[in-house]
Amino acid sequence: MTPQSNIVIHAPIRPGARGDLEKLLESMNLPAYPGMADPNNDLVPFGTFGVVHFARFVIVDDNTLKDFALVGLPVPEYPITLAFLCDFDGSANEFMTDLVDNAKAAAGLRKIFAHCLGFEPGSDLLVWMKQHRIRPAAPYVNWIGRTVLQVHKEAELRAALQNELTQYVKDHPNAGDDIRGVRNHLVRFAHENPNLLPVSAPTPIGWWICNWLHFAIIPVLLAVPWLFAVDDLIVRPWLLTFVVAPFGLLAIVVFIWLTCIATATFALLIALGLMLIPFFILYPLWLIPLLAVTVIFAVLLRWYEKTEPEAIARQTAEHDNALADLEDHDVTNQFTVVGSVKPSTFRLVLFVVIMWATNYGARHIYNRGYLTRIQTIHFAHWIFINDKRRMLFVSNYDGSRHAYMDDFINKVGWGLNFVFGSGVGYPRTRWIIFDGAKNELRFKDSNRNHQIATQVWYRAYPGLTAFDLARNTRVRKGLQRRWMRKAKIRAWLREV
Amino acid sequence: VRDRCSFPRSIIATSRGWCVDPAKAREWIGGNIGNVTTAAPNRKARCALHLAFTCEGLRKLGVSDKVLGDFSLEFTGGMVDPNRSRRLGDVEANDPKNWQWGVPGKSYPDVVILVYAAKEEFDAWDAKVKGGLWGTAFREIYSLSTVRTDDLEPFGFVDGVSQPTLDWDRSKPVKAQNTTEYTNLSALGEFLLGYPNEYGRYTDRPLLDAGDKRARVLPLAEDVPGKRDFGRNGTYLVLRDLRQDVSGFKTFVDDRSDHDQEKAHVLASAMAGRVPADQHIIPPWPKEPPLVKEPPWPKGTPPWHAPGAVDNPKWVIPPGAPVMPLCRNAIDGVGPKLKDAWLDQFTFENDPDGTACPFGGHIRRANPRNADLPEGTRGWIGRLLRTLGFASRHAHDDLLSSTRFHRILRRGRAYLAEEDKEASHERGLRFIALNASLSRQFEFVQTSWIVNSKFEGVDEDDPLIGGRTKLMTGARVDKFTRPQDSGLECRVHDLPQFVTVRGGAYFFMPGLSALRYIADL
Repeated sequence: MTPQSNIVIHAPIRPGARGDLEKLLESMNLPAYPGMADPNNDLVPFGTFGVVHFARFVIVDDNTLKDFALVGLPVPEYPITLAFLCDFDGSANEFMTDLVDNAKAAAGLRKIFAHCLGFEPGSDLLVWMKQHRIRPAAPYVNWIGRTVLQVHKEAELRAALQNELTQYVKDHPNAGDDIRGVRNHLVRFAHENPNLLPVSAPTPIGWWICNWLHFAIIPVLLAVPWLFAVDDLIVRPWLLTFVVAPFGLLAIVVFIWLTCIATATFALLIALGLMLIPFFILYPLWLIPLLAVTVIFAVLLRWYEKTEPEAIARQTAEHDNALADLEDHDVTNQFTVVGSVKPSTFRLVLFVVIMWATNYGARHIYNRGYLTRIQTIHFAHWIFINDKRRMLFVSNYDGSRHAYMDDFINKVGWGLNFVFGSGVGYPRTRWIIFDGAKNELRFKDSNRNHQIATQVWYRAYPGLTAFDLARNTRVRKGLQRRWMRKAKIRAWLREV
Repeated sequence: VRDRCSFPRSIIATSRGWCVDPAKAREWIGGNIGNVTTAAPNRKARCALHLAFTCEGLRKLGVSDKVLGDFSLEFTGGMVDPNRSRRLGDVEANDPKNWQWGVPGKSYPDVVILVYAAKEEFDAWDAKVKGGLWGTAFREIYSLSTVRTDDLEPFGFVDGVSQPTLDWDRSKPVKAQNTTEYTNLSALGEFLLGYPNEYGRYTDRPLLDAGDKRARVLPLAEDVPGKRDFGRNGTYLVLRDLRQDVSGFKTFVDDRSDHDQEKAHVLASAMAGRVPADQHIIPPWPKEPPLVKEPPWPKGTPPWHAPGAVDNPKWVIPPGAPVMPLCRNAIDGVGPKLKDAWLDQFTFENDPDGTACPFGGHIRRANPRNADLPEGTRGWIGRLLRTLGFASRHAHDDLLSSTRFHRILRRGRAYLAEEDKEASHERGLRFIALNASLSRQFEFVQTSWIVNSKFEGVDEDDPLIGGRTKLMTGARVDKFTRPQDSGLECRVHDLPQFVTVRGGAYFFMPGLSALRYIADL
């Protein structure tokens, strides 16, 4: 498995250079499709690398800073910046070296970054990029390990199987009577054309270890309290039998059950969480500091949520149209928003913790095609900029923007509140996850107001939605399985 | 709005006008307020009148820019806009530049009047409504006649079946969240401005200061104290003329069924999701549906067996019914008439593979009949797991948005344009829809469901009304897939375009008090 990485290069633009930069970026796009990059454009030919999933150049100019004035706060000033984002297979260092080694891309990037402060004709491109690289607070990848090559191969495979199946059904009018025969035929067909099947590379061992260590943070935290209990349990083994063991059994059952319907990582966290119950039964005094912290947090949270001013301007037709020009050309769309973090230490700390949790969830739990109930996001990144005073959020999603917003409000309104509730101009939330986005119209206004134009947007697989990618993978996996029940074969054939 | 059966024999003429003399126009409106049909049920009514205005029209009538600015962006921007056209599928053959009316700068209307009456009374009613002033106040751009078709649209399907029932008593819980059952009962605010919608909130609409003298005719806003509600009891009206290539459709269905009548009906039924109004078909599901034994209706012969086959029942789907087994349990807002249950008491929950009603079937696209959470989600643990994205039972589980936020009230009226010299015998449908949010309702249904070539994971657009616009990659979408129980593919290729958009605009249909306000300006 080849994991995906990203680079985010963020640098202020030279004063007065914005107009030229916009023109230059526009030259990268397909003539008939505003904002859609030509895969083989003259500046950064993303298509030639074969590993780039999504890429974009964005001029970050927040038009909602004036919202501060609406609520009586001083309007902060930030320089206008350029952000270059790229999602790709393999490690960031390798990819950046590849970018610099590609003569065309290197020249193109130099041309673009020449509009940024601190980039001089003599600057070393690689060094400069590394200096200006920031790491997203929370990156989301729809399916960790699915490479660009795999996506293309699986799409080809499904198309080939579809053709073959059509032909086979034409030649064998009674094919429906022998469904296993149909599958065997397709399996044989795939074996005769081995170039249709993607080859997966071994998982880099370093990445694998880091990933597991990162995952282990929470399980270890949940298990640590038991270290204090070891002595007691040795002295009084009946505690183990009558208090710990029943819960242990329950935890095992829950773990197995959840592994079947959710992910194993999630199941483990829940099972370990359950095991805290017997711990607190044995040591109820430990609850006191915990409750105290919770109460203080709750009081603070509600105080902030109730007193923070809320001012949301209505979106304007002009802004809406300028953004709409860049949307709905393909089945997938880009989305870039920038906003300010609410100006209080409490909010900043809360936001950082929430981002850490989001990162953890995206990395270890939601890495198989769905982010809670949303299956339409390919890649998304939450990026702190300007010393964590602002947040840049980028996403690549299927369908039209309205569908994206409505989907979010109805399916994961709580999640939106969770990850954006600390932003200035977000509809008022209650207990972090309630209300907020459920104020539909204000949420949509806030959202559109914070959205900025994505000057250049590249995607490696136009015409394919995240559902298509997952379905194509299912088709391929069905082909590689040794045995299937007849009902499964039928379901599989329907997806071909 | 209230009763769709009030005018079984009505014909309607829809006139679109340019307002040429605002003062006279206001006078004409003032004189007609008494004629405008209200929501009060009136079974004896034999005629009806509705007035609706585009943003331009309201501006010409003297409504201030400040008031207009409070309308939604979709309304003030209008239906014709390159970005909107791209989303709505109004490109290529549907491009507004080919439209008969609705083209900005050329044939963009200010007002539409919808005049309905029983056939023999129509001329008198029309004359009464228009009166002497009409001719001086407005210039008619286009008069759109309709024909009486007994609720059939020109392809031969029953039209206007799936209609939301309005919660007039506001009995629905204001903040229903995470519903697990499809409901056909819609909050009033989904269709009328000034009332709470499905989110329990009031949709934005113009609110005037209560101190404004002219605004005194307007009711007070329920949600904002000290404001008068210009939108109260008003709604947005979407009007689109859809030309239907009837002979093209019949020929296509016939050709692709090897000229076998029975097969042709099955194909046509699959495309629409409903059986043509004059046919029976054998159900595509293998076993007899369980509800046949326990029909949801108490008495009467269930229409599930073919005429003349009582001794040897051959289960069939009756005319106009969906190609889906009906639900055992009643659905909120469906019925109480027996016929409504036959036509409307179903969801697609039992058909996750699309083997009964194909994913691409028109009625499935137009109203996927789901709830906030997949049906069958039980218990708080179940809900919690589902909310977190787990315990999904089918790959399609979370693909579609919850339908209760995306309903429209439709009133299709068929037309037969014999008088049109360019295209003799042009037939089609005047699509009329009402909704309180153009973007969340009409535009969402059209964009994300009807013309979306990735709806529920398919690679095709709507088999009946799709424009066959290729993807940006050049991939074709002129296909129609019917998933089969056997698993073997059943795909029809090279679907021609059957429906072409010929005109359209967004209107605001004011309530009576707003009409009074306009007339007094």
